[in-house]
Amino acid sequence: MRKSPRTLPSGIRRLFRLPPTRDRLIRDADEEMRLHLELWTQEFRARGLSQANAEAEALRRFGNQHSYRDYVARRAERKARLERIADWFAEWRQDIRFALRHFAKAPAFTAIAVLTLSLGIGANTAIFSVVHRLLIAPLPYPNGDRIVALKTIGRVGFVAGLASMKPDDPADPPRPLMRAWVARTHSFDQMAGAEQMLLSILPSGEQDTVSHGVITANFLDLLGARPSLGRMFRPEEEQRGANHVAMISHHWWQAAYAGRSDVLGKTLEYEGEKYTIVGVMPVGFAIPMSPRVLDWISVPAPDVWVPAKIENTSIAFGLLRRGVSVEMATKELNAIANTPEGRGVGDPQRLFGVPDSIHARAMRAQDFVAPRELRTIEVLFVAVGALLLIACANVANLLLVRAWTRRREFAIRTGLGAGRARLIRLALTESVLLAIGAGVIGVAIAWQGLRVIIALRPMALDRLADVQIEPAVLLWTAAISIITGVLFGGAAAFFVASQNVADLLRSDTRTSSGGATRRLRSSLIVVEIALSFALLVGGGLLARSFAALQRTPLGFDPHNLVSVDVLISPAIARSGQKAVVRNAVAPRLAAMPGVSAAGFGMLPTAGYQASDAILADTPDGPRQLDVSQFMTTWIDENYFRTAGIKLLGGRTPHVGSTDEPPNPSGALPPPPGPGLPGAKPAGPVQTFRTLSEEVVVNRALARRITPDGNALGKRIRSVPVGRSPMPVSDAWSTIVGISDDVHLPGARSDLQDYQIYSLPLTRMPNPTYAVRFATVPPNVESVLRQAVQSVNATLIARRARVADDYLREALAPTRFTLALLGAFACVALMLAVVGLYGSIAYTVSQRTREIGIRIALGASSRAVTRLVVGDGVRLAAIGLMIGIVTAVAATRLLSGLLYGISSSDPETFVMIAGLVAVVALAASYLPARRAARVDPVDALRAE
Amino acid sequence: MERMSRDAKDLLHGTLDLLVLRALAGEPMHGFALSKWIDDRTNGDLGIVDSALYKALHRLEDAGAIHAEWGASDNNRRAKYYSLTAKGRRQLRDEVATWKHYVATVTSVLEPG
Repeated sequence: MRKSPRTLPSGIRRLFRLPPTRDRLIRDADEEMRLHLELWTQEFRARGLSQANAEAEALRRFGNQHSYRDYVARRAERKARLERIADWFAEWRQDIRFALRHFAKAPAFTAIAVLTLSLGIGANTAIFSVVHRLLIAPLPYPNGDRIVALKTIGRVGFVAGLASMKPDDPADPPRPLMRAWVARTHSFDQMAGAEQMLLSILPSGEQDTVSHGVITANFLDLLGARPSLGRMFRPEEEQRGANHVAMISHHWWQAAYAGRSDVLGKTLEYEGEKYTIVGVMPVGFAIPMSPRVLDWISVPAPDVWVPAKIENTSIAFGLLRRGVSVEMATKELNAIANTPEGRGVGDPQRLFGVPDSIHARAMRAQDFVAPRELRTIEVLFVAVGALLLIACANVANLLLVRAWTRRREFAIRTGLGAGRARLIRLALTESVLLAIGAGVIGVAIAWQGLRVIIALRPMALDRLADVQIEPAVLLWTAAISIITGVLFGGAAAFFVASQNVADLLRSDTRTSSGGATRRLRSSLIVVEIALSFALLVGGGLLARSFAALQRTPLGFDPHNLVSVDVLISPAIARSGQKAVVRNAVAPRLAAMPGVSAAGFGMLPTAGYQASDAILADTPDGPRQLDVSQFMTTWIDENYFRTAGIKLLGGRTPHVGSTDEPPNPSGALPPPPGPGLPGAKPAGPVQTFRTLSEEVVVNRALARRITPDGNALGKRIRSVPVGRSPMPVSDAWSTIVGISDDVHLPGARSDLQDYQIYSLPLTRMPNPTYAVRFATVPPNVESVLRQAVQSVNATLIARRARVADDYLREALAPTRFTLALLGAFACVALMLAVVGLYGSIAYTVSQRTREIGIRIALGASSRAVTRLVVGDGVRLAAIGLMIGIVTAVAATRLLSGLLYGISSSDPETFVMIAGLVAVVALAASYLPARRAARVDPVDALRAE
Repeated sequence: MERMSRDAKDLLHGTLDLLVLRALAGEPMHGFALSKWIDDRTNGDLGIVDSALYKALHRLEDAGAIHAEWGASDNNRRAKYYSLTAKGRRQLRDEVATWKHYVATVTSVLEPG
């Protein structure tokens, strides 16, 4: 028995033109069957049958020929297919082996390519993490995309406002409205409530800012979250009296109880009450869509959570029913809000006046990102996209150069039987491997980048505090890595596919030294220069904005200026001593060592917002000023000196010209703003002033009163819009002084533009004092607290705010965008320059022979230099032209973020163009010098 | 013995592999020789169609129990020879044991008393 060849690798099979597996198998089976029939025919003939009968009998014995042949055909197909797959895998493994070997042989090239790409991919990953955290999956809970916060636009009722509060900021609904919503909405599967209570006294008696959380029993359920340990509250525990149960935060569980499971059932003493611990919250749990920062002071997430009914919380959430959109829910909320029930008509418990209309909104977490922040993210997204393109272009260039160097290798491979498709696949495999390697390093770069982003984040993007690289983001990274690989690998593959084997094998460089590739490489460089220019212009515009912001005249001196809030206990107020105590604090603060001045008043631009109307007294009767909002700051005579605000005319109001006589019954009427459901004043109806008898206004407001701004002696008063719970007096206030305008850098609004300074009235809420230090001590809050408590031990001092921090935060958004965009732009320029340099250097080496001839024929070194530099300058010029057009379009994205400069500012464009030109010139000059020193003999001898 | 019923033939289909393995245990054979061997041993009673036999051979080859090689037949024709692999020998041994056990068990049930 002789052996025959078995299966061979497909390469050899193809080489020797052996028939493919499928046909071979079918032919074999046919041959076998034929032999079988012949032999049986012989056998039957030997048994005595005729030829015809023998054949028939043999056939009959065999059975159904057709079904057998079908079976054989199918089996052959299957085997051939399996073999093709095995071959394909073998080839693929081989491709990877070749690619890795190639990388090992050219470590410098590989390193540069991978690093370049990893910068681009890393930047993209970092920014996409930000996008993901802010816009795509902001809430880390299973029901995340169906959770909405129920808000009113603009605070309903009177404002005891925070300076950060703009009239169209989302605010929490008043009680009557929340009750109406709970009773009447159909859009939600569940509704839950939460609140974070800020306290200033720790259980140990120390003062500090701590908070505890109040939630309804179904809160975790609404989020789709589960406790880490134990259970959630039960609905019956929401009742007062049955609610001495608590859940603790995961952080505190670890810190105070060492994460032991026997914490359940332990008793917790808090605020003088005892609670039984029934569960532990999930890791990092906090009230969603709530700022972590209140008045520029970081608020820690609560460690203790207690239950309450939804009416006794202030922040409402809803879980949208499936199929209900946010818009539909908003419509329903609005409809209910504007019914009498929703507005609180006839509600005995309402604290505020009944508003005429309420604008309500259901908001998802994504909706809390302001348009300005959205724009910032768009800009950054586009910027990293451009950066990635530049990186790809650079690596494509590198690959093209390498491909040209490897042309002989490709030729040999082709000669050995590698088809064009195989070579292209090989090129693509290399590219994708490079890209995957770059992706891995890119993730590391992104992680570092995110740390920088977290550190620099402005308060508006505070949600980024816990941004990290999540699985969805890694998927994105993988996707762009592969696409990037294919993109620039396509360039190299294009080169490979466009070559002729015979040309490749010829070593003569007199033939077109890759004419097509040179054009491609030049185009890539031009694109790089154009994109870097656009990025740099963006960075330049932002830089100049930032500088302009920093130069904004503030109108006050922020350095080492601190404000502190003081809480006066109800006991003092009841005893009628409130004014006395209040006035005693400022002098005590001023007397502290290291303090140069102290006065009654909040930090400039941090006063109370009011949307009352201002009337000016004219000979023709009261005239309403065209001022939609203004800021009121309660001051004493030391305020302007302490804050460093110039008085442009007049004087400060005299103390003593302030408070109306105390209420005859002795009981204090409820103050404006959030307060206790008040004791109604007994006795004759008292009217209350909104401003003291003597006031100071700022220059801008003065100009509204009289065109020349000389408003001294004029009279104004403010009138609440809508009905107020307290009757407002119609007494006028006289303007006795005009102060300089105060501004924070950045967005302007009526709120900051118009300022009224008034002496405190009896009704005003707890005072704030401003203190100017020589240098702010690190423990400023406790230092201030000591001074305050030396006046009266029951006073509580808290929320020390430093004006410098305040200012820094006003600049923070621009600084954030500038830092990131600037970084991207610099990296982009670096890459473009390196790319340009490499390209010119390579071209020089390709044209060595030509240059040698020129020198031999007498060209001066200057001429040669000019030749080479001319190349670079030409590319740069074209790049700049395209870049200018691109930049003009692209920087329009920045228009909402710029300050004091237009997005097509010609000066910036010219400066950046100059920078790019100089850098491009330098990048071309170095290879040019080398070219000029070429030895013609060597050049002509070299191939 | 007269021709077996159709049911019995189907039952026997599963044991065709066993017969093939047994046949090849002695020496490598090509398809015709194999079919003749079985035919001789069973007097044609089993009525096995040759196409079924070849299918069994393909099955066993794909399973790795037998090995196929082209060679020259007695009269120098190109024929495919089949032989047992080590795996095939093991399979044969196991299946014979199983078959004997099966037969003994059923027989003991069928015995009167």
